[in-house]
Amino acid sequence: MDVLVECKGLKKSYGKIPVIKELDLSLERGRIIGILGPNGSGKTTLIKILAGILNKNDGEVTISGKSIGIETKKIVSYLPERTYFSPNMRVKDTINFFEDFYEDFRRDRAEQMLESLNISKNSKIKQLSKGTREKVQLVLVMSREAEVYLLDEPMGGVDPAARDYILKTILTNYNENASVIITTHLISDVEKVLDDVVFIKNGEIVFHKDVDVIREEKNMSIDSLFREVFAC
Amino acid sequence: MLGKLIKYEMKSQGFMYAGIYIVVMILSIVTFGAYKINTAMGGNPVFSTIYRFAVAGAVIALIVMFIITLVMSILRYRNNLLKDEGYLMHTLPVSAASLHFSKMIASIIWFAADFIVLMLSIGFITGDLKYSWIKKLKMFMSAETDGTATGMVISGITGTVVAITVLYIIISIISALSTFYVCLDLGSLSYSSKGIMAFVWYIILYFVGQILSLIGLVILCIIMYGGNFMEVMQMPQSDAATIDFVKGTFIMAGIISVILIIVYNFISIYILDRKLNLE
Repeated sequence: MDVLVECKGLKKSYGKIPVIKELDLSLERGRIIGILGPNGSGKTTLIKILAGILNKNDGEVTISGKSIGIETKKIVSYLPERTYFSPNMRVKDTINFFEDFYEDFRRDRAEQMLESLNISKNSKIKQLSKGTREKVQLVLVMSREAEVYLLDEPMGGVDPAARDYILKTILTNYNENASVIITTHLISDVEKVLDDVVFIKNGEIVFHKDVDVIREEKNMSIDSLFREVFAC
Repeated sequence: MLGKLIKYEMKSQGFMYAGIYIVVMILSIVTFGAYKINTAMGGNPVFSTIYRFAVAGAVIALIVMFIITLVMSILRYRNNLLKDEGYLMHTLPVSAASLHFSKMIASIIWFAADFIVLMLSIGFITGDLKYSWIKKLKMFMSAETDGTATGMVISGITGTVVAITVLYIIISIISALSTFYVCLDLGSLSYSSKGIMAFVWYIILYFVGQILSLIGLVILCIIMYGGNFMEVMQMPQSDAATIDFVKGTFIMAGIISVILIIVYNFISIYILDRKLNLE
């Protein structure tokens, strides 16, 4: 097993409220993994720790054998659930920015995707709709030849047609050496592309399994299983 | 990578500053025109009033320019590193120190640009485009023991004192930026009311600075006068010893500021690197 992401005894709390409790997790290379769980389960916190924008309280976290830091940021492509570009930037500025800072960024790939989405490179970020901004960010994130793609709610603010495009983008832009880690509430939309799912609740792993094995054992979709496991 | 960060930092604010500088220079040139007309009219009350208003406008524009630079330095740090844009900046493969210092250096560059604009503007406002006051200042600085030659009442203000003052202004700007940045960083550690906590930290650090300054002053008195505070209080204003004392306070304040700058920057970088807490 070629482990790409590993967490051992990971703990994180916000003040006195524990969000992740002694979490152990190993994610393999070349897989599309869904981190699924109800609101407040710790999905986004886990993604933020892997991206290096939130510090853990305890435990070990490695990506490709390296502790979270500058070296992991070189190989991790992160899409947060919010717009992170300055509103005054133009789309072409964001391309230049990524090209300047990420060695693995492929400008031609980004330009091609933006063209297919009819997004002008001269548009200002503040002039774009929320959905279009999210598309621009996804295009840039997926235009890197990263080893790990961390996508936090990548389809949260876009229409169903765009969701299909996003899934297609994810599938066509990652390679067998990379893994894609997705958190989402839109399970039915995303489950067709997932290889593995990690169910997480109250900061603890409920289970981590191959999607095909789940379907075989339980004879139900991931969406149905999610509703069963996390029924209120 | 630091160079690239500074480049983007400068670029993101370039248009705004260009606009400010153009407005300031236009007002300064208008003032220059009003000065010329007023001089040609031999002090006509109407033109004299217009000139005074023009001077007031240009001076206000200069003050606003410095205020905007300070406010923008703080806002850029907060918005770009501690709010939504931080999600991009902190996932770049660069060190926390580079992110921190890119903001600091860019702000210092804008302050330097402000001073250049200020100097140009003074030339226009005073109608002295030959900048003869610089020549006077040089003469004044070369008068090592007697400043009265240039009309100064206090003797003993030498080139060294002027240099120390200029250096102290530069240190003060860096110190102010470091203080604001560390307050924002400390405030960001809170899980709610980050802005309020940053303000609370500012008040705390302000008092820390004041207490350290007071301690520094006491140490200075002990070093210079063996702790005889009455001697300091009774010192005549024109006495050269006063100048020595003023020089000493500037040096002591500078030393305290440099220590605080080092400590505050260390704390800021530590928080960004080890305790980052983006919402």
